[in-house]
Amino acid sequence: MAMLTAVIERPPQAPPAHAAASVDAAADERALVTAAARGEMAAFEALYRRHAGRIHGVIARLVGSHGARAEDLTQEAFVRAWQALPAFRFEAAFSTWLHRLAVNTALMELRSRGSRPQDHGDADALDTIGSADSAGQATALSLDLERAVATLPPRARAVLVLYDIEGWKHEEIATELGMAVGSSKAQLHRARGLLRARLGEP
Amino acid sequence: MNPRNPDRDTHDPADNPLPDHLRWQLRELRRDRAPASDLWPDIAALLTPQASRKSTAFHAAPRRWALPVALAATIALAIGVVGWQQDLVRAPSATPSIAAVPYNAAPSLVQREAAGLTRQYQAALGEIDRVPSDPAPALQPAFDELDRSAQLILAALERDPDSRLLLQQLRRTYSHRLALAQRVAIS
Repeated sequence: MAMLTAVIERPPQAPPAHAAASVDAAADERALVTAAARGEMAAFEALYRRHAGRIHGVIARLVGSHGARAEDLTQEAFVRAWQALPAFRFEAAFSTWLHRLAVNTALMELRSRGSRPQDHGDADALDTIGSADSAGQATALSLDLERAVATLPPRARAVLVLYDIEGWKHEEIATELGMAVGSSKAQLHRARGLLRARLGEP
Repeated sequence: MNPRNPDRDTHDPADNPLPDHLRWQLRELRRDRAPASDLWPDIAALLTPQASRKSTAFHAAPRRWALPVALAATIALAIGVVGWQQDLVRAPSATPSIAAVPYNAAPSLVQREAAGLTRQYQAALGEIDRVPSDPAPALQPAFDELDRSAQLILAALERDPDSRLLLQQLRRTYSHRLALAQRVAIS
């Protein structure tokens, strides 16, 4: 009974330090977003510093490069975020909203490149890399996974990145890419087949 | 979106299922990757103040884009066309050549800049064409391709009227086209 009393009378425990830090960080981010939406560039710079790596990462995966193109698109995504911030209503986490906006920016660029023949210099030109050579040896065994993903054709790569890496659903991908759900599944099927071939997987 | 649920419909046979090890290796690619350089100065240069966000002020292009723009400006100035940057902020005029850039009822800032760019490009090209020169049939496919590219970019700008990336690509294309035309003219 004494033990029970002791348990009952124990003062409520403080939340773990990491939980408190998480709450603080969320409140801090909300304040930054609100300030940035009012036009405070210092607040927006702080948001850029927090999220640049994540945003550049997903864009680089989607466009299959980590050079100037991915950086240009990262830049464009943040400019668009700045322009759209006044309409942001915290219906989703800012990080989720920004991530979606970055994906949209990269996909729009992929779509526009798809209609321009002079831009065939990326993945489509590499469509055959990694396929089995005449000796039956997979020539891309030396390609690491990231490189193999980067050399997939743009549309197939976008679907594979969004589904297998970012964890989106086919319905979301179809909406974002302006295609039917069946097309998203077909692109994923194609992308996975190409990826396995490039990696020499059975 | 369910970025942390690797067990969702990955076993749909239509999806060409991946072996588990490959599926997890793909998941591990989902990591941050900082840009090689600090992009903030360029981003900051492109941000309009909130209070005047709808103003038509032109903002400096990023450093990475400075070279092709400078090249185009140099070519334009060399043949007597002045005011490349200044014209970018003007509202579209009734100049027939601007018909190449279709407008909605309220063209975006980027579309207006594209219109200014197109107007200056066409003026510069007209100046070059006045210089007597031998035809260069070998270069004709390149001219055709660049012209086609410009048209496709303008069409893409219709669908995405706020894309500064497309605007920069239009600049690069015009710049390459002018440089090529100038090469023919002086050779």
